[in-house]
Amino acid sequence: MIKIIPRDKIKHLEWQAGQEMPVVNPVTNPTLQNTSFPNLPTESFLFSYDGEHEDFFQELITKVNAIYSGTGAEIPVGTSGEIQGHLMKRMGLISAIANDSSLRSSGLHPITATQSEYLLQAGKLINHGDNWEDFGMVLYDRSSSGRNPKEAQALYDSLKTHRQDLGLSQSDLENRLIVVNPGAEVDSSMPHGVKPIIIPGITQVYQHEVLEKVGEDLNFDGYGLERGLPLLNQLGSGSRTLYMPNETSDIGLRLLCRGGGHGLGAGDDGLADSDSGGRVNFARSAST
Amino acid sequence: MAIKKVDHKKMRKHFVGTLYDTLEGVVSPTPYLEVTEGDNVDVKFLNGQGRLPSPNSTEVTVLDIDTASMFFDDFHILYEGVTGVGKTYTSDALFNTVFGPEGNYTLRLSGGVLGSSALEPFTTTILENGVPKARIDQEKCQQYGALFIDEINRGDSQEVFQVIDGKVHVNGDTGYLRIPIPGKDNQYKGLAIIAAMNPADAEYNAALELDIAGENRFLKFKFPNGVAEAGSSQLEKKLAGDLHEKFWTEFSERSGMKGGWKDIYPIVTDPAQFSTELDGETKEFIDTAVGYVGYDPKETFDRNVELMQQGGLSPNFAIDINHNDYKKIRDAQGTLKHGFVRRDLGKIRDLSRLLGFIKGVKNGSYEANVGLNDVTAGIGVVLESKAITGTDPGSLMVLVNDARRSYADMHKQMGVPEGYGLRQGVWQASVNAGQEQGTEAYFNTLRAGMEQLNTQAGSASQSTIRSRVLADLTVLEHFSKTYEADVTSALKAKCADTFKGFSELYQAKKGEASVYEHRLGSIVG
Repeated sequence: MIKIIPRDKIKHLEWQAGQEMPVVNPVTNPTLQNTSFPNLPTESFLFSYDGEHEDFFQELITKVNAIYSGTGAEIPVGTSGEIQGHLMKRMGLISAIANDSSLRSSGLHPITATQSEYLLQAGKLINHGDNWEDFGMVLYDRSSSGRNPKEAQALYDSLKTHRQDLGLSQSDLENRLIVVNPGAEVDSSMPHGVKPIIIPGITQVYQHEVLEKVGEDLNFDGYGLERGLPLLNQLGSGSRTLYMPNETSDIGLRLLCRGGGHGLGAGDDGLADSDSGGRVNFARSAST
Repeated sequence: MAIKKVDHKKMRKHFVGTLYDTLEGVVSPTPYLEVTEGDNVDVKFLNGQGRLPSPNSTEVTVLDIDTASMFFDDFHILYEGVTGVGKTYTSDALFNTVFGPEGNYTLRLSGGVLGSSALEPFTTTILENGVPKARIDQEKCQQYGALFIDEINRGDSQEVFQVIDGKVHVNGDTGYLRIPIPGKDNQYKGLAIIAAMNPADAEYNAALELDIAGENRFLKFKFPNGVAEAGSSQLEKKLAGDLHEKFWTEFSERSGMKGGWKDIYPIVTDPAQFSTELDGETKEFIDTAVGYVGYDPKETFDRNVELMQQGGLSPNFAIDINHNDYKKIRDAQGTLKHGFVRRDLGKIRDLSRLLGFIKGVKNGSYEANVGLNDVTAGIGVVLESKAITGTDPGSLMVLVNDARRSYADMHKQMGVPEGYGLRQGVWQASVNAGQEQGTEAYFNTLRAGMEQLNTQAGSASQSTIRSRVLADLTVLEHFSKTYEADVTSALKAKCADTFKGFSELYQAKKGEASVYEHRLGSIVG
């Protein structure tokens, strides 16, 4: 038998002629919600001064530079062509989008490492043979003798702050962690004027079994479809190379990137590499 | 005994209170689990080892479970445990106290070529033309109030099931195992049944796993081994004196009711006093939580999105399989031997009712109110029964709590009153709007409710639960559009007749598509 709810208790749900769709108690601040990145986006496009998404990108550049001018995250202004990108710039882009409702409403985000591999497999990654792309960082340790120690400590502090948002345990923080699409915060004490930060719902943080294989570069077969890097059972042979740190301890903070020759990197240390081949691919998130 | 007006709550209080006091020197408390409520619900399986009590915790012992189960006729208790832990003792003590030696029966199904018949207590043998023939003994069918079935996994399951179902058939005769409820015409109290079995493992090689039909009829608990914990305190506990006489005399003094157990027990434990149904909110929580807790949330989500998209609704939320939370969900689910099956839904419902009543006994309300926390605990207990031996149930409870929190947040967001489901709320608001403003308002309200739920989600549990609610509403919208003329006609009826009209429409058309029955039954059925 249907149990009838007293009408006055659900009157607020009733649509009235000429009335907008009702909104009652919106859930939470959308900046803290997860943006979902489908493994294989329907399309991706390069961060450029012009083209189909010119308006979005120009607005983005303006807003990035309003915050990060004079730091490693600053984007040179321009009117045409692809824009060179490295991790510092990428971090600025990510923060600017996360903190601006107009940019956020576009649903466009720099791709994740996993998306890059799916796009590569599907033959949809633009000009990948000539370009490289930084996706984030690998925090191996916070050793003062390791690479990028200041950024490593700053990132660790941010990880600690957002540990629960990320679903990490305390012990997880002491493991080697991949941090994809971190954001940036201006900090003049940092070598590049910005420090990496976690943006809940945007930044992805996870462990990966292959991070234990430091000390040498490794050949692998296939694609890094499991969170952006190959699994252990893909290692040994194959046409692709996974560039790992040469060191086995005191490694510090390294880049997570795709190289121009189809290799993947978890060992480079240049967070603001000025090589002109760097690019930023964008794709549309599932949550718009 | 004439009963004019029965204060069930007071009788429950006197019955349970007297029972516990009577058994105080007889049964050592064997802690089974502890439910702690707060921001989260935690279920800890105690295996006989109680914890220091805290303000929000409820310790549930074997005696609590046995006692509470007497108030419910639609499920029974089955204990699995090794010999010597006290499976038989507690039930013996309880049944002898309430029903006396003549009012309860212990059936031992020893197996073997000449194994005991479960029907034996209810039959008599007569000579027909010089040939002995078993016949139903109708008097014996109404003799007992309770039955303890030992080694249930060693007997003829078909006979056992007849007994459990309360209807036995022998040579064309039918007997009903039940006791009339005084003062109520043609209403009966069923047998209280507790069963026990040894684990079906190498040590007990004659014991078999109970088949699905058997599992369906019981709530199965792993009997805790409290021997080491209780130690010598148990030595003082023994069945002594006439507990039956003592119990009913004391009960009579407390309640003022006079009569034998057959006069009072069926009234006190009348199953009609507690609803067999959960309310819309808790039912919906089970519907939505199971797809998150017991299955790959991404699969559940994808299935629901498929239905949503068929109905022209694209989700504004997703599940990120690269997020740590998702990995942790899958890791926790990896400790499950198998996922949820249909019968588990009934078990969750029954466990929730049982735990709700036990909580009522402990807090002095003696009610059997079932809330989200009780269902959460019920799901936790069912999950534990599915976990690989030795698994810490904590990680699974985290999932159940995630689901509870997400569902409660959505409920609050939509402003649907407590006790009702979100789907019910949106649908009934649509009906109300449609009655007043016509069919267009019905559909607009339905769509508005869906849009309101179709917002970004902050976690996998939110996405999974949101997807289920939205998929069901999408099906409702499709159903309503398909039979729009009937809907319009129903909306023209007055007040509750509209809902009745919808219900009749649903009953008439649900056979047109399985998805109607699966998704709409708990909304308009």
